[in-house]
Parts: sequence; structure tokens; C-alpha cells
Amino acid sequence: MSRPWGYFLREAGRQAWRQRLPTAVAVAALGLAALYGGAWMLLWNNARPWEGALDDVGRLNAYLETGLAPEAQAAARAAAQALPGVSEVDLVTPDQAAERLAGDPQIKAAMALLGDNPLPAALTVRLDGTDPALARDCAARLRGVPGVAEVDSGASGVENLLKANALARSVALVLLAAFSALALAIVGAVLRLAAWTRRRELAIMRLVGAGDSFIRAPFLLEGLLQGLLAGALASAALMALQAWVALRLRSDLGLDLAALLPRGVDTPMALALCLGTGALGLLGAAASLATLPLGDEWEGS
Amino acid sequence: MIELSGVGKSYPGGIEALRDLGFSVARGEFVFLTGPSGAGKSTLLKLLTLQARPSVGRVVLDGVDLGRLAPGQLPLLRRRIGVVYQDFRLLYDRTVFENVAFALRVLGLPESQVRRDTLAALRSCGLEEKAALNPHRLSGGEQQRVAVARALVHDPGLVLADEPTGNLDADTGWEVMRLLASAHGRGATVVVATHNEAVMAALGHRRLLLRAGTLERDLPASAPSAEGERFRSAGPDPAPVPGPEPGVEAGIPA
Repeated sequence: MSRPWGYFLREAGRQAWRQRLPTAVAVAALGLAALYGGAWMLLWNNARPWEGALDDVGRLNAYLETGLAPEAQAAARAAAQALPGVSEVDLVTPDQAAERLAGDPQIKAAMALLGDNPLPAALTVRLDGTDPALARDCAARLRGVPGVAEVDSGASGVENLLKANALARSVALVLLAAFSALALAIVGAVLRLAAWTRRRELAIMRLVGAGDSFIRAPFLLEGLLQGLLAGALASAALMALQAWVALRLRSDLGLDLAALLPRGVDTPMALALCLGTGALGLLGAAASLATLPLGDEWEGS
Repeated sequence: MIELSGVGKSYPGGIEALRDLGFSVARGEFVFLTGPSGAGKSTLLKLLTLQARPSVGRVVLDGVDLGRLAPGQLPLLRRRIGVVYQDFRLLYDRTVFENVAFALRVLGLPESQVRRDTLAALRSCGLEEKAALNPHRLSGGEQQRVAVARALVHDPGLVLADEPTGNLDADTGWEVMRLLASAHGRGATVVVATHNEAVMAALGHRRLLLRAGTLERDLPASAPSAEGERFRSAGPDPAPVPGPEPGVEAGIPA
């Protein structure tokens, strides 16, 4: 048996038009979920550059005691190289350190005022990975190496940043799930209301031999269309917001939004939002109709 | 086509609408179902239109035992039946065309065939000009003809009509009966529940008389009256037959 999809689409449209207000509420709920989902996707996409901070976790600076003899410096370097988890160690002499810092005019001026080079020799230690726990262990071991005065790892700061990032994502995910569940419930309620107001019509449809799929298809299509519409509206709203924020940042602060959000709202993201909310609408419709008899008097008799 | 044996139907509260009902209707037969209000005609039609299940007994429709009918088969069986109700049961937010086409769409027919067959059904019911109107803009007789067109458009083997002339004047009642008779002429089995003694007498078809939920009498077909003969000969303007009088139930032959 062929499926009259054109008829189903017309029925879904007719149904949505008859229940304009509840349909608008359902689209708004789905749209809110889509907006939130979009914000979450932006966070997800743009959190990756923050993870560049992990590179810093994989590198430690161990400052040697002032006035340490070159042989002792070499011994400290060899001891550091022998530590587990260490892949490479460079010895940076005070002169090399001063040379590196001379690029900054203020530091150069300060160094000139001081006269003698006050910088200590240092070891730049590269680790095998970017695990903050490994960096913490290596830093502790480095502090025990003879000649090492101080170790700067920065791992704890990055660790905290990563924890905060993970927490933010978890909270965002929970909120996204809550918004989605709310949208599902509203779509379901709207379609149940539609089925209730059309119960007489559905009973007549049953009497002339309409089967389950024939009765349900327009409802499912309506849920899908509500979701697609909500996704499209949310994408358009996000794009408009993005354009407005970019304009304000440039005109008021001279900042480039692309530098802050390297991956903004783009076509793939808009498509993903539309598909996501479409699936949400379809799911809401299917779940709400699963327990409805939809006009079948015979079964309940 | 229809076989009932030992059929009973009880409703919550102990109301017994049908008791030990048994009869059969042959394929291609035209049968009137009659009896006073509360006799069980509507309940019987509900069983036959698959809107209710019997509490006891066996109902076989077109070879299908309804007691063994799987839910998935229900729509398939309903598509072999055309039903006409006294209150028309039309969809008032759709056009006449849509109301009739609907019965074909559920069959999954191509849209071109839906259109062709719907227009043919509307034409045969004299409604071609009204196809684009909403049913609420039609008279009662026209609405009933839309309901008949919907019931007959898919050429069902069984046509069930519940008081099809009950809300109509005599002339339009005859028009509706003519449409049902034409379906019978094409080989359909027709069961009409009616109080209309004049129509029954005129046509002379078999009558099943129900009283208090049981089959009181099974009256065989008799010779149609002169009016019925004119009707059967498919004259273009059959003589009007009086509609049911108030209290007509008392006039039903016992």
C-alpha cells in the first residue's frame, strides 16, 4: 500500500493551523531547547582552544641555585633527564635566559638598570604527556634534584581550568537534557490535545478503515515539522545574535569576535540544530501517541 | 456474508442490549433490521461495524470470525464495509470531495484514482456540483447523500445503514434508498436498520424484527408494493413515500 505523503503533510499543516497557539508554544519550547543546544555546541566547539593550555602542562621549568657551577648544572640536567616521564631536558644558561627576555623592552630596561644578570640557570623539562598528574609528580621529583631551587609547573592551574571546563560541560549537558525533556513533554501535550479535540474525526477515520499508521502519520509529521521549524528559527536567532555581537565588539571595543569564538554559528551547526530538534519533535510525538487509542472504539469496547 | 449465533452484548451496569441473537444474511441479500427503540438495532450494527465486541456468541463477517480478529486486521475488514449513519458523521472542516475521497485514501490508492473514483461516486449521488463545498452548507438530504457516497465509493461488499432516512423528508429518503438499492444491484449485501414502515413495505425485502435484544421475527421477502415496483424499476422520479410517522414503532407488524 502506498503512503499518501502529500495528504499526510496537508493534514499535519491543517492540524497545526487549527491549533495555532498550542503549536506556537510547542515550537517555542523546542526553539528554546535548540537555542540552549546551540549555546552548548558553541561552548563545545570553542572549548578546544582552551585545551591548548595543556601544552603548558607538558613543560616544566626548574630554576637552579644561583651561582651553581657548570658541572653541577650539567649534573642536575642529567639527573632530571633520568626521571620517569621526562622526554627531554634543555639547560638554559643565565645569558640565554637574558637573551630570550631581551625582546621585551621593559625587561631589557630593568636588566640594564640592575647591571649584572640576576637570572638563574634553568632546566626546561619536556614530559612524555600532558597529564596534569604526571606534571605534578615530575615537579615533586625535580625539587629533590641537587641544585634545583624552584620548580614552576603551572599544572595545578591548568588542572583547575580543566575541572571547571568539565563541570561547566556537565552542567550544560544536564540543563540541555532538562530543556529537551521539557520540550518533549510540551510537544507531547500539544499533540495529545490535538488528538483529543479531533477524537470524533479520528473515530470516523477508523470507521472507514484507517489503520494505525494512517492515523498516526500526520501527528508524527507535525511533531517533526515543529522540531525542524524550531531548529531553523533558533539557528536564525543565533546567527543574528552572533552578527550583532560581532558588530558591537568591533565598533565599541575594537575586538574581533572570531578571535574569541573561532567556530561560530555556521551552516553545519544550523543543520545539526534543525535535525536535532526535528528528532526531538518526532520523538515527542511518538512518545505521546504511543498510549493513545486514537479513535479506536472497538478495542475499548 | 453475515452469521450470528448465540450473540449477546452487555454494557456496564448490567444492561443487556442483545441476548442469544442468531441469524444469517446471504451474500447479495437486502435486509431490513427493524424494531422499537431499545430493541438492540444500534448495538447490533455496532457489532457489525466493528465498533463493539460481542460479550458472548460468535459473529462471522464475510468469512472472518470477529472473535479471532487480530487488532491489525480490523482496518482491513472495515475497508470491506460501507457504513451510513443517521447523523451522517461527516468531517465538517473538509469539503464534500475530501469527505468522500478519504475512504479511498485509507486504502492507499494513487491520488489520480482517488480523484477519479471520488468524482464518479459524487456524480452517481448527484453531488458533483457540491464537491468543493463544506458539508454544513448542504441540506440534510445532501449530507446524507455525501455519507452514502463515502460508504459506497470503494465499492464495499457489505453496506450497513443505521436509520439512513431517519432525519430526512420522504423525497430525500427515497433518494438515499435508491442509492443503497443501486449498491445492492451491483451485488453488495445491504443491511438497513430503519423504522420506516413505508419503505420496508414498498420494497418488500426480508425483515429482521428485534425486540428487547432478541430476534422476535424473521420475515421473508414479500412482493413489493406498487410504489416499490416503481422504485425497483429505477424510474427517474419514484413516487414519494411517506416518512416515518410519530410513534411508528407501534405500527411495525408483529
